[in-house]
Amino acid sequence: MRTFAQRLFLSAAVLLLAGAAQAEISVTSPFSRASAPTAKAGAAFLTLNIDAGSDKLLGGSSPVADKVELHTHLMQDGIAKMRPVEGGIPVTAGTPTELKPGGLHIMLMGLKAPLKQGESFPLTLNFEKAGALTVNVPVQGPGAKAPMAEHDHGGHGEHSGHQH
Amino acid sequence: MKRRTFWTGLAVLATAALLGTVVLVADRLSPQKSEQGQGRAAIGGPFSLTDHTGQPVTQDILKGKISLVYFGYSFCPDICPTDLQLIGQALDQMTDEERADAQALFITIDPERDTAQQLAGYVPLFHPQIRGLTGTPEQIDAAAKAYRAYYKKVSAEEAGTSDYLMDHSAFIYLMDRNGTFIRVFGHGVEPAEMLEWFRKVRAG
Repeated sequence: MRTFAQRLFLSAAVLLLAGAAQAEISVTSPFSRASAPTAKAGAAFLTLNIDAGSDKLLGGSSPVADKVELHTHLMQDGIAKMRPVEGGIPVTAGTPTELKPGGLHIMLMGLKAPLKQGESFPLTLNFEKAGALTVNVPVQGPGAKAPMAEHDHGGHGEHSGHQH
Repeated sequence: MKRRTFWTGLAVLATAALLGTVVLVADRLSPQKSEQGQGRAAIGGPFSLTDHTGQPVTQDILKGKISLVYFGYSFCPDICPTDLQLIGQALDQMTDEERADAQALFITIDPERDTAQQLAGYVPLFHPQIRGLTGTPEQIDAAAKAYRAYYKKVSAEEAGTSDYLMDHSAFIYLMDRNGTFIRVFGHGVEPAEMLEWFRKVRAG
């Protein structure tokens, strides 16, 4: 018969093993779009990867916004509908989960200050198993479609000298 | 096999509903649809709005320019910025002479949040030549009806978000120098395609 101490030790060992085996989540290509000076909302886009198993993105927080929500876009017969994602965004090993314009995205509700092109802000993502993960999100042009390092066609900032 | 009949019936119903929707939307956007039998396009018409500088405007601003008209809202973080960016790129790809003949209008379907001041900070982010238009809810409704643009407010409670959202049709309308409707471009259209059509209309 095992003593209480033995049981406790075993439970702890199991927990430790579970912890060691926990999958690692990586966030790649995060970007956001420059907002209007009076904008109340913004969006962040990124790609989620997990090296083993699966997890779920449940939500997040950022000092730049009152609230961070997970939204998606549905296009039905040319009509754009934005809706919150129910029950989180699943992340599965082997398949990157892309949050990109026109689909899943992270909504920054109640922007505290405009998002300016060239700046960046921290965004904390909360996962069901992995817990909190903070990434730095660079702000690109107002209509940026993808994270572009060298060739930013995302905005009009770089066209400041152009004539009309 | 009652169960099978049920599922077949359901599938037939679902297909019929889907087809019905497609036909309805296609019908709404059909450029051939004539008004009062005069062969005039049913898309476009009178509007009375205010631009982002506070100037009152009517459909007369379409005269003499080839226009790209878009209905959206600045709170939209995704669909509208993408389409406005594409419009901005089309304008950028024009020659100076072409650009002088072009005009881009962003008409908000969210007048509650999109004041002239709000639009003044928003539309120039995409291109200095895009003009933002707002108005009273009645004025916006009339303009949207004239262009057969669809929009619907989804309350925060209904959407389950911290602020209300808008469902809206995402079409870019091409209008000629007389303000006559030529065609629509769907969400995510290539700037080159808009430019090609702009040039066709410009050449007459």
